[in-house]
Amino acid sequence: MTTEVGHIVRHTRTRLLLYMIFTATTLFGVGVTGTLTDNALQRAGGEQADMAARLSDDAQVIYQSLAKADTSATGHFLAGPSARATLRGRYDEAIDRIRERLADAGGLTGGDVSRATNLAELALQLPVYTDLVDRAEKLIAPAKDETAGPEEVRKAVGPALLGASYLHEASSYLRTVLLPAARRLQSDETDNLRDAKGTALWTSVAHLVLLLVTIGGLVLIQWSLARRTRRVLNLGLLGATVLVAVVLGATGWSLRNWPQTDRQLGAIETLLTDQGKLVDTERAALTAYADTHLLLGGTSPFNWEQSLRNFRQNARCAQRETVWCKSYTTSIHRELIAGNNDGAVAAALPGGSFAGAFEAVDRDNTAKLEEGARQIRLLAVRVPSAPSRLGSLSVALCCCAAVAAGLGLWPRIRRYL
Amino acid sequence: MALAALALAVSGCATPYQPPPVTEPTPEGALFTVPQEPSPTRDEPDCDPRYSLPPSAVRPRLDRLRVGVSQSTPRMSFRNPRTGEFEGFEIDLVREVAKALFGPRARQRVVFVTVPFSEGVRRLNDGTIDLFAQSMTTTCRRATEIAYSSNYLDTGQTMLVRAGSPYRRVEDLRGKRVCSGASTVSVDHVRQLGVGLVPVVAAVTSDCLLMLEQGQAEAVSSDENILIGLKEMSADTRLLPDTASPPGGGRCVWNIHPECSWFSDEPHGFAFRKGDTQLLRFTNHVLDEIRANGRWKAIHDTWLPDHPDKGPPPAHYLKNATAWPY
Repeated sequence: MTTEVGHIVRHTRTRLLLYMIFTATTLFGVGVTGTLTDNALQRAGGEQADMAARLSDDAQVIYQSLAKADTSATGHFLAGPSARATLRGRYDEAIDRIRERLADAGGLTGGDVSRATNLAELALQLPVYTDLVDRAEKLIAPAKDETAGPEEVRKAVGPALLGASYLHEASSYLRTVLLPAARRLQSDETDNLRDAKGTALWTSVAHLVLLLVTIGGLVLIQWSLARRTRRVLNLGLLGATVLVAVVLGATGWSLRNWPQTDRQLGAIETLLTDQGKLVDTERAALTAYADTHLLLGGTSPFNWEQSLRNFRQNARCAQRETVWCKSYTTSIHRELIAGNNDGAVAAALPGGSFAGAFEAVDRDNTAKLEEGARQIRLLAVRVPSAPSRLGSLSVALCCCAAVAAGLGLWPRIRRYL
Repeated sequence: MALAALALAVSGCATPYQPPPVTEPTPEGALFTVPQEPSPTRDEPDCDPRYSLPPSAVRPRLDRLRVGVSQSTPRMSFRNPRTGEFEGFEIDLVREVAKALFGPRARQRVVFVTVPFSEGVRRLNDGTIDLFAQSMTTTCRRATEIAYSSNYLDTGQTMLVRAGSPYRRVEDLRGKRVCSGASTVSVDHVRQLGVGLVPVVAAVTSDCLLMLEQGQAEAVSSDENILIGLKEMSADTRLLPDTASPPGGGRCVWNIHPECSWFSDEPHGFAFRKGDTQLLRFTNHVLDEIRANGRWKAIHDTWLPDHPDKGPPPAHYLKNATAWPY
């Protein structure tokens, strides 16, 4: 008999302890997931969408401006005085725009190490590129000086050719180092947005599941205790259940806009991806133009056929045979084969037929990019912001619920100690 | 103890911000590791690459003479950035051929086409150009693809180093990077020297100059006529040896003074389609004339006064040959 009583005592005490542990653990979990959900909803809400829109816009402008700087810089060697001034103006404008956007993006990192690293990579390596271009410019300038005599020009030829080689190296540096870093900056924002959306979803689901498990558990404990205490309601447990139900209500309130947010974020993500593709198209077009300058300047490693193939690939001529595509064949490729290098150079410099056709393509691409950026900004503004107190409310209510549950369970436990 | 372990774990997990490294610029296509073995060569005919077809004064019937040239090899063939005109030693020699072909209208009837060196043979054979003038060394291997004129310049491979560098002899560069243009025989020569040089290559020889200036190579190796042009591109360079005079004075000529720095024999000739013997033989005729009347020397003195050759290379002809034999 004594053994049997002892067994019951031990059994009940263990069960009560398990109730305590379950209640404490689930309430702790609800507090934590509530805080995580709150953070994730904030990130995925207006804040992240706004930051992604602004940073990706900065990255797109940086990327496009880098490619524009490349086309202007590679034209230096070919151009006469007036075209050189035009190209230098375009180059300076592109570099100023990059610096401006780098400064703007620097204020948007939000302590994110990956963003800061991408931006630092660009900021640190941009001067390497501009130094190469400036060096090339200094070497080329004396040979282009219209006031110089024939002997001075003759002496300046060698350094000018070295300058052309530096321009080629600068172009290669820009394409292999700077452009990929700028592209990463942009694609990272799409990834960040996707991550934020995913995190918000799984933390919300985890929080809801845990809330339901907690409420269910509290009800079961109540039922179990009521069965042993002639249906006396445990007020402490009841209070805890009510408090957790309030957290559930608050969570529902916080998530009421989630379907809309999810749709908006999905739309922004799609637009960012499309924008990335458009930026790639624009970059390829600018590369095709810069390559033409290098070919005409005698510093391209490719022969005419390879250059034609590269151009057609970069200018996406297989998808759409534009005026620009035709212009390359007639004004550059055929002129080179005919030995009319001067004619090809004239066509490729500002004011020439090939340059004019490129500018039309560039204007079209730029307009599409600007429209894409505008739509992203519009959508970002429309993303609803989540209420910001879910985390603190969950923690506070869970603490209260834990105290209430403890007050409810402790007298029962004490009886069996 | 546990706290210390936790702190260690936390610090290990955290990724504090590290400034990214700055990538050094290098010319596009530069290779710092080149295959150990020389590139395989095709079967070469047994020939003396200095021999060409006999000259002939019979003018070929041509409307225009289309010449494949470089626009970026100072001294030899380049485009004057101010005037847009092609100039250089090879350009003047070609103009002599054009003058003999077309008389006073030569300037209008010679067309200079900028052709990458690697494309020269193909452009000759597809008819885009009639003559290729781009510092081409006549070799038995090339003789199977194209025909070449009698030699218009004797030169040899040597080294260009930074002016302030301590190197005086090729041996001083043991273990150092020596850059040559890709697809040139210079890389193989550098490896075959047997003094432990480390060959590196750039897409074009002028890119080697960038590598030299940027400290990515300690020397550039190519034919001396090319290196003289590179030296003009960057004043802060000098050739090996830094004194052009051998012991006893005079100019340093490789096959006369073994202590001089040329370590290969590079006779230069114009290239033609193998079947275009009339133009080839007429060109040889013009070259013979300008060798004899002092015009070759005048052109040489204009563009290559500091090139240590022995004057116009003597012409050697295949006896009784009327067609290209290889």
